[in-house]
Amino acid sequence: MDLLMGFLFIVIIASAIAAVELKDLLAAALALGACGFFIGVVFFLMMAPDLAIVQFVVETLTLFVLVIAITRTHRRSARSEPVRIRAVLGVIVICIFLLFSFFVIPLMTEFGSPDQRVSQHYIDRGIEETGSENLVTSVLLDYRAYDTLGEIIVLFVSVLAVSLILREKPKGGG
Amino acid sequence: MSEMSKIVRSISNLLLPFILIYGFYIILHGHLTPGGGFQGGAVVASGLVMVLVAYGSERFASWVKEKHLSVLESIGALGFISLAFLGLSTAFFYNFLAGKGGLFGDIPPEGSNPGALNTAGTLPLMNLAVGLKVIAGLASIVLVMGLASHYFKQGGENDT
Repeated sequence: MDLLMGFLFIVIIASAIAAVELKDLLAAALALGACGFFIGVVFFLMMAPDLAIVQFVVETLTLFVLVIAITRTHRRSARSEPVRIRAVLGVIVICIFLLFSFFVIPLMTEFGSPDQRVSQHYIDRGIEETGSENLVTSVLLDYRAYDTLGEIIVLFVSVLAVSLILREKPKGGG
Repeated sequence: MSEMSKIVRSISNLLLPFILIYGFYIILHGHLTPGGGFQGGAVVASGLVMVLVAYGSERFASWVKEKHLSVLESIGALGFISLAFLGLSTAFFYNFLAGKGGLFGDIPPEGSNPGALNTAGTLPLMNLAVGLKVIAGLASIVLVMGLASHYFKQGGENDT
C-alpha cells in the first residue's frame, strides 16, 4: 500500500512538473489532467470515494474545456480519421471502461454502509456537543467546518474571477 | 439589461420584503430547521436579482454599489475565519460558545425540534457570516455580469 502510494505521488509530481515545463500546450494540458486523475486515485485509496468522484468529474470537465480552448485557438486539425475508425475506437474505449467497472464495482463498499463508523458518533452525541438541533448544520459548521471554509473560498475565487474579467469597461465602448 | 414594464416593477416591489424575510429566516434558523447560510443567502440574493432584472442593472447599480457588496462579502469571510480562530485555545473551528450559557449558549431541551433559538454556540454566527458572504457574492456576480453585458452591447452599437 505504502509502495503504491509512493509510486502514485512520484507520478503526480512528475506530471505536474511536465505540465509546467512542456512547451506544447496540448501535451501540457494532458499532463495536468493526468496529475488530477492520479490525485483522484489517491483519494480513492484513502477511503474518500466521494472526494475521488468529485475530483474525477472536475478534472474531466477542466480537461475538456482546456482541450477545446487549445484546439480552437492554436491548432488546425489537418487530418481527421474517418467516421468508421472513430466509431471503432469509441467502442473499444467503452468496452475497456465496462470491463474495468465490472471488476472494480464489486470491490467498492456497499451503498449506505461506509467503512468509517464516525457518523454514528454524530447521531449519538451531536446535540450534546454542538447544541444544534439540526444535525446537518452541526456537521457542516462544526465537525466538518473545513469543508465550509473551502466552499467559501471557492465562492470568493469565483466572484474575484468574474469581477476581474468583466468589470473593466471595454475600450472604445460606452 | 434595460428596465421592464411597470407591472413587473410593482410586483417585484411587493414581493421583495417577503423574499428577504424568508431568506433571513432560513439563515437565522439554520441550526434548528433545514437550511442555513448557503440556502438562505441564495434566497436573499435571488430576491436582489429579481429587483435587478425588473429595474435594469444600471438603476440597480445606482442603489447598490459593487464596492458595498464586496465590503459585505469581506465581512462575512473575515467573520467566519475569526470565529474559527477564536476557538483556537482548543482547536481550529472549536465550538467555544456551545452549552456555556450567554450568547447562543443554551443547551437545547429534549423533544423534536422545540425551536430554542438561543442554542448551538458559534453555529448561528457562522451561518450569518456564510449568509452575508453568499448574498454579497451572488448579487455582485449577477450585477457585474449585467453591467458588462450593457457595456458590451453599447460598444457593439458604437462600432457599427
